Amino acid sequence: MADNYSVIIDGLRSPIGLKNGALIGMRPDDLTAEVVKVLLERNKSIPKETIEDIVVGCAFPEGNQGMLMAKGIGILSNLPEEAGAKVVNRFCGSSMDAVHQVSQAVELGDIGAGIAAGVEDMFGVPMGGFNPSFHPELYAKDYYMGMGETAEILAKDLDISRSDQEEFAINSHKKALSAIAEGKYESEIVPIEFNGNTVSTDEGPREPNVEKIKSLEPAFEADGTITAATSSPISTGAAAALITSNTNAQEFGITPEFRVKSRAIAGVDWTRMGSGPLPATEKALSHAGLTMDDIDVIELNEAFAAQSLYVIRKGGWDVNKINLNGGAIAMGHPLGCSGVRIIVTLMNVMRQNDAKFGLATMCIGTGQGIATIIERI
Amino acid sequence: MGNSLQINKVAILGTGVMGAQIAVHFSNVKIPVYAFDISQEIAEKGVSSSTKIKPSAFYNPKTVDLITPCNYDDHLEKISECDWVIEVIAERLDWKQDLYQKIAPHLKDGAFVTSNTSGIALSELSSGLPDDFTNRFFITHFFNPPRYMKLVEIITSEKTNLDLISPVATFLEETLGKGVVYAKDTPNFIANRIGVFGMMVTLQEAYKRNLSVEDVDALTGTLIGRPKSATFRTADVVGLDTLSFVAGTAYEKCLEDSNRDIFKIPDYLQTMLDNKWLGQKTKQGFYKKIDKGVIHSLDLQTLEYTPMNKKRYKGVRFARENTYPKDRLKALINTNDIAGEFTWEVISQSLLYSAERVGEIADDIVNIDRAMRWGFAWEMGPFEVWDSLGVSETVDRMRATSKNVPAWITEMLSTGHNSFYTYISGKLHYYDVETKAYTEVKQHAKTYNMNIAKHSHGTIKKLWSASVVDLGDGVAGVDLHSVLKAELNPIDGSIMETIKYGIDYVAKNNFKGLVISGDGANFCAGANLNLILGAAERKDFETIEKISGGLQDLLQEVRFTPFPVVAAPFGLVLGGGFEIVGACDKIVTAAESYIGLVEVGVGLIPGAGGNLRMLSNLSNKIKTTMPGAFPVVQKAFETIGFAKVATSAKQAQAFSYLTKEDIIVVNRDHLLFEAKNTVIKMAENYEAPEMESFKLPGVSGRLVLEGSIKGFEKAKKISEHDGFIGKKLAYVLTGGDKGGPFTPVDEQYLLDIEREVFVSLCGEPKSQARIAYMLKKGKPLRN
Repeated sequence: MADNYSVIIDGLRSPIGLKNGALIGMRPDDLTAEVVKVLLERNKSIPKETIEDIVVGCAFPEGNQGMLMAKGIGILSNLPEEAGAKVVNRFCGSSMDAVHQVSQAVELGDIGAGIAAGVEDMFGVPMGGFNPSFHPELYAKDYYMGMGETAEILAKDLDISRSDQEEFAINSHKKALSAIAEGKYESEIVPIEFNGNTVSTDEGPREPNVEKIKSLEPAFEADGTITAATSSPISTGAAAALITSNTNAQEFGITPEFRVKSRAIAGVDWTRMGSGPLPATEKALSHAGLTMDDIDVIELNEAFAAQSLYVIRKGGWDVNKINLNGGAIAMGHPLGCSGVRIIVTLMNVMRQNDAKFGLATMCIGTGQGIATIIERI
Repeated sequence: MGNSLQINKVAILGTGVMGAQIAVHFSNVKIPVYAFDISQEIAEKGVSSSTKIKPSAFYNPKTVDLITPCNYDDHLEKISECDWVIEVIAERLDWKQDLYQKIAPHLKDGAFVTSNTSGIALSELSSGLPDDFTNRFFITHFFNPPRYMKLVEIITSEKTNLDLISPVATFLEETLGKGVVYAKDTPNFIANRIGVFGMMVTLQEAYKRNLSVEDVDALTGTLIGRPKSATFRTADVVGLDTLSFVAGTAYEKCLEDSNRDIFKIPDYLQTMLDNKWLGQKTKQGFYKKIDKGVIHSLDLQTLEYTPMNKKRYKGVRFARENTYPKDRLKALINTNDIAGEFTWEVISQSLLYSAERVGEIADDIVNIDRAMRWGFAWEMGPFEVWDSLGVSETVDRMRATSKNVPAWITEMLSTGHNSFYTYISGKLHYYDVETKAYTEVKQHAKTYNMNIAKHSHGTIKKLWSASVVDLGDGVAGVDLHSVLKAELNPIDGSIMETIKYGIDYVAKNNFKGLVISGDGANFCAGANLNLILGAAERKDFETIEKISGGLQDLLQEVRFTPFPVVAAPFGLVLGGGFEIVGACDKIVTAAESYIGLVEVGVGLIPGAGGNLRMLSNLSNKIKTTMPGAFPVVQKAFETIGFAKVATSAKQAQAFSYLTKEDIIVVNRDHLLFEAKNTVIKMAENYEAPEMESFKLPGVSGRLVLEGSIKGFEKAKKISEHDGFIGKKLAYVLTGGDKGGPFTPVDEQYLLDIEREVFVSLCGEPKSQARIAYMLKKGKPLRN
């Protein structure tokens, strides 16, 4: 059994769409199905009859993301009807959790192969959902605090200046733009046809207008440091990964490249939810028997520049290893999509930089962190 | 209507400010337009800039889709699809005639062409054009801004096929909501001729007396029933170049006019033109904005801008003692001070000038009065003003100051006709100069108002601020005419008493139903804040409780009467004004209605059922099956919490102040007619509405709203007191302590918690400061 572990055969994603962009109005189930179809097409050596489950992460599974969207996505992407389907909700960590669940099931032998996907149409379903309802006791404990406010707390904790945050955000855009220019995203993005347009690049990354960035009013607290420019934008996007075991892969004649080395989840103070990646990463490293020095590249989900800088500074992380192709501040953070999205990007970055170990980690509203370590074998 | 005109598509030639706005107004009434200009780019730019004009030219900006930009090179054949072509290009005769030649071959049978010229005679425009063109060509002169200014002057030539005119006038009145005046083909037609004379004479008399720009505007504005922008501010808005152009046209072309010299541009105005001090468009004219909130006025003698310094005049003080502008004008011109003497001079010269023009620029006084009311927004036309001042007294005073009174007026008075207008057997008549007798004023069949009703059917009961009027055919009306502020109709005891009297009267006398409306500028701008502030400062909360509770009870009674009560609002319909309207069984509203629950601006929340009405309208519109209906409450919260005021009746439907069942009437003059007919129709099988109950989110949804309020406060998007009021509002809208997704609350409970919050907010010092500020400055304080 020691030799049976889970591997990610391949991962793909849609371009990430922003407000007034070309993807507005596309159904999230359709968007995910487009990605899954190409994923299956590109990996025909794994017969789709062997895929036993599709697990879809989504932070607000209602409205056009409701009705157990995962099974619908399975049908729309021509998965065999014998395949099961479920939707996972762990807010921003939803689809990373989907990866964890499929990987666990594969390792236990419950399924031979499965798809972990994630999607969020933040324009179709508002954050908070359509009929929000707060528990008075939790409200009193600030459980429902806005995400921006939690990031302001982190900024204050470590005195993270507005200009540092802006520099971080500008770098995110610059890295993304040069990655796009160098074609570094091409192998992970599925071009999407919608309304007669073909969208094949992320809509977020743009040449930063420094003057405008400096002139913005704080978005959450009048005397705060966080602005729209240093927050990840509202967006829409989908991502999917094909997961099986190493033995299963070998049976189909595939030499897998990426192993799910370890998985971890951790809870933190919900008013400092952005710190979640720190304990989650610690656990993931310990599960893997590694130290931070062993990690070559990191995908740290950029919910807010302040939150990312908090993790980097508090954890003493090497900034040169992080988000080499840009991050969510440039590209957008479609909540349920982001977990698989950063794992897909991580695999690409690992290949592009000939890395051995990679870490993907993200913070989760309500006070959690989630982390995955990938080994390139 | 046998001669009704079918206008399915219109071409507007020229997409400048005026052309584009005329196009927009057609789109407002859902008529598609081809908007032409010399290039596609210019046409597109013209149409897109029409969306930025303020106040908005659109009822609903989405209708811009009905306007297709076109150019003469590529799209001329589209003219053949149009029933009406309106030319609105620059005032160049050669350009206009070239364009007519160009479009003529494409005109479809039965289509007609009009020019919107304000300065070129129809005879010149028509000269040299083929009969097949000139017989369907005339002038329709719209006023800027065409959505808001009622006037359209129609000028025909002897070649025009006159059979066209009546259907076009009907279309302008019924569909576009305009008021039609028939003018003769003389320079500047009617409104600009008289109006610009009035402005030039004001300039001259002010200069003579060394009166300041701001003092002249104080004397010639709302005080005497003229627009707020009065004389100099109007000139700045219109543009001194435009004003001088119109004056120049009169000077050059009206050679027979004995007052021609008045139109000569005075030296100081010429200097201003040379300096390009053209008013608003060049950022300085008679006024100049020096800094934020600091405006200086021009000293006409030194041509320097100096801080404004409004003098106190005895005449103004006496005038202000009166509620109605006509009485204020009378008091002012009869005061022996410079203000009174100046105003008399300006007014008397204008009256005489108008009188001399009868027969020359229009057939009768009616067309002149209407032109000034509808085109220059005067509350009364010159002859109506003259009547209100008393014709023979005024004529005596004119003679005493050696002014020439036209012979026809002398003759009118000497033959026992003591006024220009009079009612004969309930019908309005005017003195016809031609026949030297009173002749009935011709009105559109749907023109109806409280004043006409009073003369033809009588007043049932008159109280200080409102009356019950017999509207005929078994329908009664409540006419709002506040004794405190006639132009705003703040709700006072007498208005409430009148509404109560009205419903009792209808019940007792077996009338069909009731209409609540009025003849003024605005339906009702809300509660009597003076009264509320006074009581609040005395800590007399019992009185406030009675005001709120009394109006709540009365309006619930209105809602559940066994006969239809229809509201016919217009103009401002704010706060309590909306609460009256919202309680009625149906709303027949003027398209130009500006509806909003604005209480938060004065530190309060709606206190007479406004919250209930919004919840009711939104629940019926959104019809969600969600337990707790959060989206309904959220929308109500945003609308009331941000005190949103709709800028048209169409927008009020989008905001859910009005529902889709409510009726929008484009022509204000037809409002009461339509409202009365609606009562008659509804009365046939009328059933009173049933009492509603609401499933609201309760505390769980309230906390969601409180969470957003907290966020807004932290980001300083709202003040702490805004947040305080917001939480109280959230309490009411989410159903108070009893409400919840599974515990419906009834109307009375919602009214009770609304009243409780309303009264408690009156006790808040910061809310009192808001009320006081609003009363003093007329705008909200953000404390």
